[in-house]
Amino acid sequence: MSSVVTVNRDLQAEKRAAATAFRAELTRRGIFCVNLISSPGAGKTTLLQATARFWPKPEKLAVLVGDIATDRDAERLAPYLTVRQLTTGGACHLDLKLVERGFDELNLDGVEYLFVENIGNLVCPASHDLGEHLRVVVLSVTEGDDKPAKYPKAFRTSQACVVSKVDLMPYVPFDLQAATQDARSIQPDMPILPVCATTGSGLAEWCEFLRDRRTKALAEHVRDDLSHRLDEQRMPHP
Amino acid sequence: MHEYSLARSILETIVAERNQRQLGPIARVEIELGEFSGIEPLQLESAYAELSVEILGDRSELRIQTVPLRGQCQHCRHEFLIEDFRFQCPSCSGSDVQLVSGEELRILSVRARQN
Repeated sequence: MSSVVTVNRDLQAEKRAAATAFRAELTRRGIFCVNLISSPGAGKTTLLQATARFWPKPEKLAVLVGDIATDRDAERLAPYLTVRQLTTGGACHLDLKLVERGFDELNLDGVEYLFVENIGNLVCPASHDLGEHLRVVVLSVTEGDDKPAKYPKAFRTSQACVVSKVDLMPYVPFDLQAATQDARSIQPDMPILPVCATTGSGLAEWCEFLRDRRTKALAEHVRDDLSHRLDEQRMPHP
Repeated sequence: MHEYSLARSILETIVAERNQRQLGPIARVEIELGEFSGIEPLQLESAYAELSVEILGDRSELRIQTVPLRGQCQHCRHEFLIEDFRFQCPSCSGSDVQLVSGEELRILSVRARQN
């Protein structure tokens, strides 16, 4: 004899709630969080170095940089912005707990933008919400234009795509139009931002894009907060 | 993705459930798995089979119900099956598509033997 017992338990609910709470905490402190994902070697660290060099007040930027081993990326970034290395010891993605721990150890006075540089991997990071406001997938032209179609989840869960190393385009068979078309069949309104961190081309647009998204995210928060307070005022008193 | 640790978390949830409700030995666990969850069903099954004895103390069967990737157009409200990861409304070509299903990882039920 046996019987069927209903369980009905969503195994992702807890993680989702924790990421939402962390995002709200960041918003409340005026910190806009950007999760950078890409294949290994696509140029995430170089993009961050260039961003910090270009930014008028780099003290407003901070970064948590993830790697399986070494703190080489933190060393590369330290001359430009506040940085803390996260090493996963083998895990192929960052998770929220690791990010929260790094966040607690950073000096965030006056910081307006927190970048999280994920482990180079287009698969697993796509399934982990780190509490970011914006997920950006970096695609270098040397990887090939077939990556959006081959890694749909990475592109679906990202809200922008930086195409990096565009100065190498004359030397590699990368079709920007084909990559854009594939990326937009997965994420239809995906902004595509071509950047070359070494020559600086496209950096102004990338930085402007970040400023615009931060303003919008914080404005949304203020609006939600205000309507929440108005709702409370409208509540009849007992 | 991380089928081994997910199998472990399924089995640990079942143990807690079994103890709390004082169920008999677990014969079968039924879960719902979204096509776009990033979790590979065959790898999950083999990880589960490997861990079942260790965690539950007995062999048990994992039954997976696959949930298709579906979206709803926020423009014309048309609901549709998303094929080849084309997130665009086939009815009005709208690009604002919200996922209706396909990302699930949910334990539905367990079949327990009588004590």
